[in-house]
Amino acid sequence: MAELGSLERAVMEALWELSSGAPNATFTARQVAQSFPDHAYTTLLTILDRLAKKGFVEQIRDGKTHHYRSTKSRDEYIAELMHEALNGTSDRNAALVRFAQTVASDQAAILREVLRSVEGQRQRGQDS
Amino acid sequence: MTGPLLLLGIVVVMVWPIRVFLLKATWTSNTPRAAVILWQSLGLAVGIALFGGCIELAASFSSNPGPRRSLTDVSRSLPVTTVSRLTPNQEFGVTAGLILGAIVIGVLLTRAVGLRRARAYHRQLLDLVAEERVEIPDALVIDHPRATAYTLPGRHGRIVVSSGAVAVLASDELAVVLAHERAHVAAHHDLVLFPFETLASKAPRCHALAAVAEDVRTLLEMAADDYALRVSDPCTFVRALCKLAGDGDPSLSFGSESTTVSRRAERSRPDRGHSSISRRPVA
Repeated sequence: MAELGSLERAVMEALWELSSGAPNATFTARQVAQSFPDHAYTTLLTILDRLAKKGFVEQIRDGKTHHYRSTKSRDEYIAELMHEALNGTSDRNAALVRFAQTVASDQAAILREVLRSVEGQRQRGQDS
Repeated sequence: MTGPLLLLGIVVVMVWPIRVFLLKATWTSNTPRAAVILWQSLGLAVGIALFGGCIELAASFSSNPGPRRSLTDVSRSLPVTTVSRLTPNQEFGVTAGLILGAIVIGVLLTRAVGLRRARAYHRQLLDLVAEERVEIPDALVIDHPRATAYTLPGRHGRIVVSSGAVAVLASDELAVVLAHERAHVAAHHDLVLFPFETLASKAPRCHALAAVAEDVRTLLEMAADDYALRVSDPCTFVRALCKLAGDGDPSLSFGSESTTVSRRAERSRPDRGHSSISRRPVA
């Protein structure tokens, strides 16, 4: 699976920007191209095609023209990342945090107790 | 028959008393990396003993009433053309050993491929929505209020923090968290954990295996904590741990029995004379 280039990301951001008012709206490549005056139209077509192959963009055919829309919103992708990070479905070697987040409330109390004693020790160390 | 019995004995001793002893031991918290190596050796030894036991079992079934055949006799008769020389009992032993080995290798390979694919997709999503920030040079930030930090392992591994974590943590606390994650990446903890988690996930009913995988995971977190504590003091560390824990969604807790966090926080206490951390001066 290839890495996502910066132009691909920019195109996705343009699509999200365009659809910020209307979540299900679709856009032609020309409409997307307006956000990229420095890039050739054919380049944008290639990028959109690549994004469609990767599943980030839906390609809807309407007669001769293609319409595009992002498969998911930015927030949905972020939620997906967070969900995976917190559940560790693909990556069980996760974080400092994971255990912390499964901690029950009585254990959070133990943690706070430890923190207090650590800080108390530190205070005494500085005083003496 | 003594050969296979001996190997079986070794397996039983390692799978039961030694495992229970290691799981209950508290000294492992002080030397997490040594304890992980101990678990690795134990796992490897059980695997080799099981495989060797099957082969040795085959060897012990004498094909004729003559002198007992040794392991080397059987392996010499292993080439395909001469395989018919094995008695059905011997064939059973050899086949069982080979199947056992093939299953383990197959399970590991399958999960490795699956993990690789999932990580590549995760990396793509990060490329799509995560941002770099100048003040956090080697990590990616994803815009989410929930405080979290994690490592996406692999050759193109990445350290990820949520904007919630950046907001809630002071800069020295964030530095501890990042040092902790960098330790995971540098020491390839994902590879260490991989065989344990794979076998545990393939045998979900085997609580012993799950407990061992969980212990290895905790020990690796502790090893990363030790690394983080080299750039920080215990106080900042525990504060960071508490802040991240405090942000936990109660619905995800399920009254978890895990004592991991308190165990990890406890070992950073300066008054624990024998702790590897506390030998450092706290000031």
